[in-house]
Amino acid sequence: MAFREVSRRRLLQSALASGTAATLAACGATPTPQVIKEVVTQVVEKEVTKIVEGTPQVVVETVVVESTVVVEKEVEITAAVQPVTLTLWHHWGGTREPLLAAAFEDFAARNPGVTVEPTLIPWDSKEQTILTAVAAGEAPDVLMLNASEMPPYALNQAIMPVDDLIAEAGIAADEVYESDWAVTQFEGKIWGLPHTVGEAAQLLFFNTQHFEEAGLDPAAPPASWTDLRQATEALIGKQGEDIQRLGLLIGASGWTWLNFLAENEAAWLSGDAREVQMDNPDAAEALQFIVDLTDAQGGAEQVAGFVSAGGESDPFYSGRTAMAYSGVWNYFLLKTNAPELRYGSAVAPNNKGQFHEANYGPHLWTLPATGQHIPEAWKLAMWMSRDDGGCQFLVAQLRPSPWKACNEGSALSQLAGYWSVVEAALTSARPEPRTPVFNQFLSIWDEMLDKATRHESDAAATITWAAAEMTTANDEFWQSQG
Amino acid sequence: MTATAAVALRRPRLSRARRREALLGLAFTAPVILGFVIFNIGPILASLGLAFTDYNILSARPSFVGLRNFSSAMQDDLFYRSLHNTLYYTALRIPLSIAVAFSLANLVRGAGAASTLYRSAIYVPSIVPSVGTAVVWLIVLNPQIGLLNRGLALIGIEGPGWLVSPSWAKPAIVLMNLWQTGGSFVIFLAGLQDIPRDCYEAANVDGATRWHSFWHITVPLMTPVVLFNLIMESIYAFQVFESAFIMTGGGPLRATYFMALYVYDNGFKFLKMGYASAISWIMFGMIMVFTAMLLRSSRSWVFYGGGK
Repeated sequence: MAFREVSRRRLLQSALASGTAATLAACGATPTPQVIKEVVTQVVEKEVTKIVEGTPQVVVETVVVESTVVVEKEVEITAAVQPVTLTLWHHWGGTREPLLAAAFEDFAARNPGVTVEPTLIPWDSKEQTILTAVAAGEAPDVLMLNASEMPPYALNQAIMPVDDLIAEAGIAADEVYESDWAVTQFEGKIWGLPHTVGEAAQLLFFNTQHFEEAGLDPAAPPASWTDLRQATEALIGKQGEDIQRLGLLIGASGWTWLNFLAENEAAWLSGDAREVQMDNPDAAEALQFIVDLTDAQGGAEQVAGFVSAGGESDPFYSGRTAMAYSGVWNYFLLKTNAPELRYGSAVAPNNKGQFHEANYGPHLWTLPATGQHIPEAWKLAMWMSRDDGGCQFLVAQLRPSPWKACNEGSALSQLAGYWSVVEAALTSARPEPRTPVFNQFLSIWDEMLDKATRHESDAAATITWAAAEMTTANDEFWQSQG
Repeated sequence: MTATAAVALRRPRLSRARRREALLGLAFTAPVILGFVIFNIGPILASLGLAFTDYNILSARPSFVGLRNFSSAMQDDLFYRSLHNTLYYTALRIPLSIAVAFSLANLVRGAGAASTLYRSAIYVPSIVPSVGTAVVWLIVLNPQIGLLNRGLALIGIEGPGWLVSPSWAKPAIVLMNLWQTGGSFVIFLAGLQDIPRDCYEAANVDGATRWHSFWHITVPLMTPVVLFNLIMESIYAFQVFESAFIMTGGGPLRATYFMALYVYDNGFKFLKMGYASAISWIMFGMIMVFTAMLLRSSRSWVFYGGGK
């Protein structure tokens, strides 16, 4: 674990640093080198002695373990001329909150006089909370926005472009994975710093025990749509007409639809977001594939009834589904919710082309236009993205960072047994165009998937209908912009 | 004008004590009135203004577009779908709510000592938070393991898909709302307890059966309460939102995509606050028309015992 509890020594150090900073503030702010102690996660080799099961044999093995060590770092601390409180809104609830709190504590230690006041915005109510705050001029200093949500804020100048700040900080585009950098941009400007990866959001998780029972090889998970269909049919468990175990939890929603489009190299929107291009055979093929997978498992109504029967947040954790799509965040959730589950993971199977998923949006740290403390807010945004704060926050969750240096320099690649999967996913996601009417498209896609999987109309006709609806919404929006 | 007539025409001045009493009354009610004006009237008038604008919350100023939002609604398939869903739900819910609440009130009135317990048991569901209610009913209505389908299976009936079935999703939500009919129930109970006992005694003397007493005494004397509950239930029914928002998201196949949910989506997801305001004023108009029709029709079926 990269973070530790506040010790008395740490408090005294912070107090000393704050006192020093206060003194300096009286004289004028100048950077002061100070030594900070912090705990970092390291990989070490350790010899362990163990008895081989079933025999009296004792062996000594070298294993790689996670270890924490206190290191000293000299950093330049610039005291704020006046005390500043930065407000920050985020969506990291549950076990992530303490990790975030520790990151803010570190930031405050390095920036005496600056305190961070975080607020958790529940995911379900984020739209009305953030929108009404922005409308009232009460937006926080730093706001966590998903890249897919960013365009309307950018278009209406509710958030600031950060191109100049990036140039001043000397941040280069190749410090970030290509598709993560691409999705921070809209209308030729950059609107935030990537905090999480947008790739590795549709990985295939599979229950290795179910695989073995069904005669499938866990070391060779499905790599193509054909493989996936066969595996789904082999893994589904039924008692009469009732589903006992799902072969694959598709989670068909507007969000996952983009991934299927990318896996089949199907277009949906032009790069400038002005033209809907979804009425094409590749999109129809992708939709038909989802229909086939659903039908193979009993049909939309039965699958929906089965999924809702468990009551748990994810039936994969309880073994009620053999395979499921989820993202890189799932590794941490599996560790905490289902530590005994034997599972494997792989990049999502695709049908054609090089992409295994869509990158429609990492979370970004953005700066609302109404912020009062831009320099400090920018420092905080950098801390939580490029710098140690963001890196350690993600590493503690065994998640990759969109910043290459964090992944290359951290223990993640050795601690995380699934790193090869994540590495492959980081370079196989298609960056998707940004559009201000994304939420309307999501709503249309939800209905499109319902129509097709419930056989209200065939896949081709449904795609045509959906593309027409999208065109109407898109054209209406851009016409209103003048 | 004579002095006497002038004095008669002049308004009598309030005495100091009466003036003080009036001012005190105003002072005590001022917070409520002020709160109502600021937090209710203000936003209502603001939404009326926004209904004639193109406004996406994030933009600095709304731009006036006249009646465009209203004419767009008239050509919007999704608007008509949400309207159909809302009217269907209202038509199903109102008579069932009234019938169930009235029947329960009648039963509890005759329950004697246990009526307090029954009153509480029937009323409590109406004060359970909507999220809790939704979570419980998601399980009750589950087609595989839910209590409802398991109970139906015991009597040889294969239960429908309920919330996962486009045909049964609305009836499922109506069923859930019937569980929360406590508000109407207590009003009916109060009305029943207000009926003079001598009406029943007189009918008894004349040889009336229980059914005669119910149909010719209870029902007519309860019509004002029925009218009140009808109006309140229809206002609630038209505004159905939480159950669909939490349990179905408007699906499956838009079967539970009610007007209030469409207003929410337009305002906060699609950033079309002007259009959302226009739809909410259309809803308001519909509720007003329906209430006016109810009140007008009440002349023929509502009986006010003490004369009109």
